[in-house]
Amino acid sequence: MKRMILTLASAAFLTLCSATTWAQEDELKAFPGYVDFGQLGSVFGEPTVEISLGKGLLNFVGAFTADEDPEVANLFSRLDGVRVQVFEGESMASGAVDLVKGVASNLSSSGWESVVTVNSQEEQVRVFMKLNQDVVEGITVMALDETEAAFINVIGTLDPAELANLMDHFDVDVNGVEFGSDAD
Amino acid sequence: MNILDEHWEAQINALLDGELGAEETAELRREAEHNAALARAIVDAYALQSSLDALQLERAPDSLRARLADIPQAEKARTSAEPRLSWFGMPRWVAAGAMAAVPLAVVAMLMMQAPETGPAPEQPQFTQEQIEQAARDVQTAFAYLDRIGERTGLEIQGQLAKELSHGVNDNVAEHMPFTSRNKREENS
Repeated sequence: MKRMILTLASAAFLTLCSATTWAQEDELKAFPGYVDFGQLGSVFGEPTVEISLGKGLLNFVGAFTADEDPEVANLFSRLDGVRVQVFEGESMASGAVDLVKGVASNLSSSGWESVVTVNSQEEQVRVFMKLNQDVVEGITVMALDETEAAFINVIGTLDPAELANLMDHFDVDVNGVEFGSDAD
Repeated sequence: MNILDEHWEAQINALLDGELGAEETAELRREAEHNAALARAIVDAYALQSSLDALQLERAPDSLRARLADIPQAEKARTSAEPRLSWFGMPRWVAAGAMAAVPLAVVAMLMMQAPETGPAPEQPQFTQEQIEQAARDVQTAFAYLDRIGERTGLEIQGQLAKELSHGVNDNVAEHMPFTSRNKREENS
């Protein structure tokens, strides 16, 4: 009985998280830097990492870093959303390359600039930027290799010169160990 | 009072309106001296009138006044074919009680409207746990960006910062040295 309650509670929690993510997604769709990646789940299955942050939470995160790094906090205040979906598997999913090329085609035809293309048997990478004059309104990265597919969409009015600072700020090893800002 | 006392109700209404003559007033007083219910009704009616007189009415905002002014015409148009209840014919203190709801409603509406002219709406509140989780999520997101950059040997962020800081107005791809250098194949 206890196990059943735990299962139901977990299911309810996951449903709530999923609903929250969907609500967040709906809010982000209004921004020009938003990218519709299509039905990723139908190709890759369940994501191992799924992040969807809206402006409200990003502002709070920025506010918490304001003392130690005002520049980063300022950049955070102009971020409207950050979305990440990562899928892992034994091999590259069938249809994955076609999906990436389809999304890339849609982005190109809707005013996104292709800034990086890696197009090999082992790896597919696409980096797009949505520009309005000199201001970046969104960055999108799609990266496929044999065992991992990552889809990233950073939404907001960004000065590209600031991105390096932001990236340096989050010097994080994704493979598992360090998660903390300003990690040495 | 019961249904037989409708006469006295009309007399009380007239008394409060100042329309009761001296003779009728004296008659009402004599009746009230040995009719406790009538005396009570007179006292209640006076108390209600005093309460209404004591209410300090605030001027409603012009927009609200305009909307209220439009209500009779709109209501008339909506219910012109429907039978309508009339204020006339009901005891004055009943009507007064109903009318007392109007200033109270206006006050309530003013109170409801107060936040619009007060401080800005509060930001959504997040728990410390949510904010810490969001910080970790942002770190994860940018770590993936960083790793993809490193994995493809592109150092995306450094190049973007360097190239775009010169103020690129046309096709950005043309100003990205790594774009052509690292485009390994065009198999598509």
